Amino acid sequence: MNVQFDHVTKTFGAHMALNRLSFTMKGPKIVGMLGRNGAGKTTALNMIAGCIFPNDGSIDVNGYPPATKQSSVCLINESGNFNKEFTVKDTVKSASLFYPNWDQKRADELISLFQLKRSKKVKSLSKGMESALGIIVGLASYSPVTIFDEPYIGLDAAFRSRFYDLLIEEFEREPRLFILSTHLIDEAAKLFEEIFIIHDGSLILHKDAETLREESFSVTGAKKDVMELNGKSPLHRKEFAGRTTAYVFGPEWNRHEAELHLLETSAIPIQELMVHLTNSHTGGRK
Amino acid sequence: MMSNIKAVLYYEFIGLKKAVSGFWIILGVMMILSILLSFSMSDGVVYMSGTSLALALYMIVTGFITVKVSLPYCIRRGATRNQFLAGIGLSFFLTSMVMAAIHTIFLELGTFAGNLLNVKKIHFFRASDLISETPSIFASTVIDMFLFFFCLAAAFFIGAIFFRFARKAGYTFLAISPLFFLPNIQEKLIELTRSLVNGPEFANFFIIFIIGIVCFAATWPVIRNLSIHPSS
Repeated sequence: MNVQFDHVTKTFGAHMALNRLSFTMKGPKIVGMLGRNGAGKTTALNMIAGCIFPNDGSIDVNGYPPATKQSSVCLINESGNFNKEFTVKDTVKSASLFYPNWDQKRADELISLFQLKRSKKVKSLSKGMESALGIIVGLASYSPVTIFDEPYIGLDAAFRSRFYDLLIEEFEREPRLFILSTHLIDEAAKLFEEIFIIHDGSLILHKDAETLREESFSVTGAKKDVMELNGKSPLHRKEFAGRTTAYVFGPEWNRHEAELHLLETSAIPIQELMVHLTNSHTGGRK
Repeated sequence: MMSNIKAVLYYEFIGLKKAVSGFWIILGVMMILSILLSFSMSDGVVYMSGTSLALALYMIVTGFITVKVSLPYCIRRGATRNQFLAGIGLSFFLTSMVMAAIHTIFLELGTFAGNLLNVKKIHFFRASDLISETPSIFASTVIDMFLFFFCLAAAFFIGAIFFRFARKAGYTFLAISPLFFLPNIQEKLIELTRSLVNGPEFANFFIIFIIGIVCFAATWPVIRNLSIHPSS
């Protein structure tokens, strides 16, 4: 259940989607692949599934280049996953034939859970229900590497919450490498064991979630005290009602030291951290 | 390997099943109308070539869109490009065989109904009529199959060029494609076309089938390194 990118470059015309991207994902784990729009996440995920070929560099999925042995990967994109003319029943049956570990009983349970009608055509499903169908296929595939790229467009909060629970349930039941890419980072953050942040086609951060939470926090206090502590240049600084808050990140920052200076510290949501890290105008620093 | 080929075949089967049933219903209605219209004729024989032409067009459209519709789906679901090609090759072969058989059944039923109603002024024309006035049912079916496979494979190849290199490059390919053939191959193709028009033989249709296989094989280098983008 390993995915390895080695100096992978991909260009689309003049646009460089991935720039010598290198990383290793080792499963079983639930990892988050985060980044802004156009960062290169979808390109990278489609490469893992063997849909897109790199211009340069190599990709290895469970010991093979992805386009030569693919049944170990299941990719669920944001949309366009299925033939619109197919019914739900045909779609599920068709998917079941592609995945050797497919669990039909689980697929049936999930269809009932998401209240999908088997006789309905994909084109007549709402956006949310189509997303639910993608989630069903992804979870029931039991592929060693299962990728969800923005899988819940149109799903309401209750179903999204159910999806997060299901992901954990499925992971406990059959541990595998789940790669989740989403813009609803705060909602999904609790799931991630490891986080990859991509920006402008390059990896700017790869940490396990626990370390990331320890190494990133905000410091609030009198401007003078915060500025003194901020000799080390924080990610972001803001002032409100005479008090200054600095977002800091990195092993050089010590929460205990800040508290000794009688400054308030609190955790930074991963979404905010990602926003400030990928701030392109400042190169991630402010 | 085999399971993914089976999966590609199933996907194609479901996709075609729906389109084909609608197609045959419309064609059946047209045949009935043709028989009814022939009642109004006082003399002469009407040659109806509508079914063969409609089927050939149907095959061309199906072959062309297969790359755009089936390839992205099958690759995303886990088939390799080789498995996809093997599955589609089998599916084309079976489709041309089944469609040729259904065509035969339809025309035989049409002729039977015509005889029953004493309508002798209508003749359903098909490609096998070119080689004999009274071709056997088997020869007619096999010749249809050869033609249908050719239509599917050639359109599939052109569809792959359009899908990979976009529309402009596709049209450019179509425009300059005659230049790709060596002069002696061009000569042979002209001879084949002439013999199909003047005095066709069963062997000529077999050559068309072989050209279909060559077109299908030529698709492999086109899709081997073809990227499937999320918007496809």
